Amino acid sequence: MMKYIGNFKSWVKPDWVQELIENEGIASPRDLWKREGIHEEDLVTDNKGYSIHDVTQYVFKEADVSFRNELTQTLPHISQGKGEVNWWFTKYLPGQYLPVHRDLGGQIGIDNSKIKRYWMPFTPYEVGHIYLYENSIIAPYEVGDLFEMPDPSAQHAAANLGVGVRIILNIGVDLI
Amino acid sequence: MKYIGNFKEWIKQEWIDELLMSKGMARFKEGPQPDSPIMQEQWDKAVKAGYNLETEYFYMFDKNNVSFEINPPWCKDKNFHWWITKMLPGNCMPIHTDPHTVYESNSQRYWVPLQDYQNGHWFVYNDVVITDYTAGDVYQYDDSRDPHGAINVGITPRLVLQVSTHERMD
Repeated sequence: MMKYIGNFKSWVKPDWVQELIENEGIASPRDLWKREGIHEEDLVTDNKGYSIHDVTQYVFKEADVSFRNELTQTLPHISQGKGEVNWWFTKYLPGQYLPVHRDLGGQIGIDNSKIKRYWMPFTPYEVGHIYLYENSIIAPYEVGDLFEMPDPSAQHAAANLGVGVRIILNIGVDLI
Repeated sequence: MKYIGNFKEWIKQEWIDELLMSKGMARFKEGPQPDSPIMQEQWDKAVKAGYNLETEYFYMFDKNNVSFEINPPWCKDKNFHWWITKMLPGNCMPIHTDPHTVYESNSQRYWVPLQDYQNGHWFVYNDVVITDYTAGDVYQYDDSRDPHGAINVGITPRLVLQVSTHERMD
């Protein structure tokens, strides 16, 4: 089960949310792997029916938003001195999803015990906005609720079966 | 949702085989157009949200496109109809209310997975995602009009029987 840290709704600025809604972001996975400099022939394509050419969510990396510095410098709860902080947004339009997966971590030489992962919704919950961590769902939730993944290598997935956009801030801390 | 019991022995493997081998009716692309105000309302809401109802979101089976008959043992002496949904990885059904439950008298809805739970085979009922179920488990909706939806974010096809009962309208 995800660990609830607290609510930081007042920290979430409406103009940040508006920017994320009005801009498309990186169509993922279709354009994300190209953007990361990964060649198609190097991708593991045991995709069980999914295609890397599909668009199942939109991603905003730090460089993709105008409020990068403001967000980085004011991140709540996250101790800035503990390690390298990185963050990204995922935006799910109605019908979009993220298949069940484990984050790469160990597969690319990263020790998951030295990573912390956090999750914070930027848009209000509605029925059909789903985040499943192992077998537990977070629902309902409030904008600004901050959760920590107890095990960054645990299986998780997400979907938007509702009618409103669903935007999530994902935070990673590589502990020193 | 109310758990009624498990009827795994009643489910025949040949049903599963046939459902997996057959395509089924592609919804919403090949399904009926809205034929009631409640269905039209939900249809319009989905289109406005960005769903493309001209594409294939999932596949449906009923008495018209399978070779077997379904007679649910928990529906004896009741007027019922059924349909089966097949979702391939990435398929989904947006949150909705079944239109017929609004019009039928004393409508009761049952949800029956035909396979054991597999990661990513999600049924969403209000704020709950049903996981860790067993093939043949029968769940009854608390209210047949409750909003629900489903998605397959796993790696295998997902098969679920839906049953609806109502009082006879003489």
